Amino acid sequence: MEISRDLIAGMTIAIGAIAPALSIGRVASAAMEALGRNPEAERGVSTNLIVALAFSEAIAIYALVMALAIKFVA
Amino acid sequence: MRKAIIAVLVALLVIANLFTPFRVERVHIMMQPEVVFHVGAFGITNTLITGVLAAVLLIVLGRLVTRRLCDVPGEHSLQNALEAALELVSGYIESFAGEHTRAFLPILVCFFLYILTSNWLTLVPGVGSIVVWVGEGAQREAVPLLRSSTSDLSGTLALAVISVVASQVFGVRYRGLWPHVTRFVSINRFVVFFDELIHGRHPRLKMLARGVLDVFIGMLECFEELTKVLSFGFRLFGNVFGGEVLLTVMAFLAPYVASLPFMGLEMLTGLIQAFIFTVLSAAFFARAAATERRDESISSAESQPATETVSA
Repeated sequence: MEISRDLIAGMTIAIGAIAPALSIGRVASAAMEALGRNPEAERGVSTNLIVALAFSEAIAIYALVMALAIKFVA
Repeated sequence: MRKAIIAVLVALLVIANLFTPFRVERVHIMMQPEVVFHVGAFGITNTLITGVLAAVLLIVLGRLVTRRLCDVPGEHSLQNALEAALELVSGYIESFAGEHTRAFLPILVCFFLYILTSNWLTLVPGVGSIVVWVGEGAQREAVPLLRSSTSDLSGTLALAVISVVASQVFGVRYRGLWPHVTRFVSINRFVVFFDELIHGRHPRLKMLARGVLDVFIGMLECFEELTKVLSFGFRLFGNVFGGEVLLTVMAFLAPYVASLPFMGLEMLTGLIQAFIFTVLSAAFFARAAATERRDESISSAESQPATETVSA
């Protein structure tokens, strides 16, 4: 049975997005907790939150790059 | 009355999106940049043109701002805007770099402004939509004249290589050549071990074991530099190119208005990614330039007995 490139590309990003999704959830929930406990620290927390989110997102982006490479590079 | 107008507008929008005659017929996405023309054997790609354009834009901006510098810039002046950007970056870098902030600042702000300009150039009308005809006969095809240089893997990898090489340079400059090299080829403990052996002192096998471990850690450090290039390059490229694909697909699904929020999202992503690249570079520069004293305090527990025996 031949497996199509589209299927592989879809699976790549689908599986690759699981871990970053979990980690983004954890990061965000920790940040919300910190904000709830200590609302005046909003500036510092939100800057670091965005940086941490971008790092977690980067893992999904690696999967996206691989998926795009599988799909569009002949 | 107002509700009725809004309802009609929404209905029009939906109908326009569903039944537009100006639909994109097929999505054409190219991962690799297209060659626009050749200079000798060297193909000038559209991303290269845009990269040069971004650099020229920044140079012109810099000339404009520095031509009439003043201590207290006006509220809406160009100098004020640029100083705000500089302050945003430098304030954050300072928390990593500390005393080295001033040395790191030029290259880091350069990264920030160049990546930001390149990322936002993607959203400028005309970039990607102005096409030129390239090729002869049957292979003649329309190629976008401009395409953001950060949506090209070569471009982002080049930036990543510059960042990693700069961190090596800063390491050599602030720690000295030998301490910097021993981070990658760590033979300090071997030297101590054989020194003890040659001078007839009782050599400690623990030193040899740790020396072997050090060699592997050094290899890991070398490998890390390589993966750093890849992760830097892939992160930036993936975000920008992924954003381009997202915009294209949204324009394909719903040509009018509906893809506008994603443009806002792309502006935010572009800013954040430029910021991430800069801050991450700053962190690696600071790590490479971390002075000997801080290093020793980390590994003082194991290096303490070594210095005792050498001096004894």
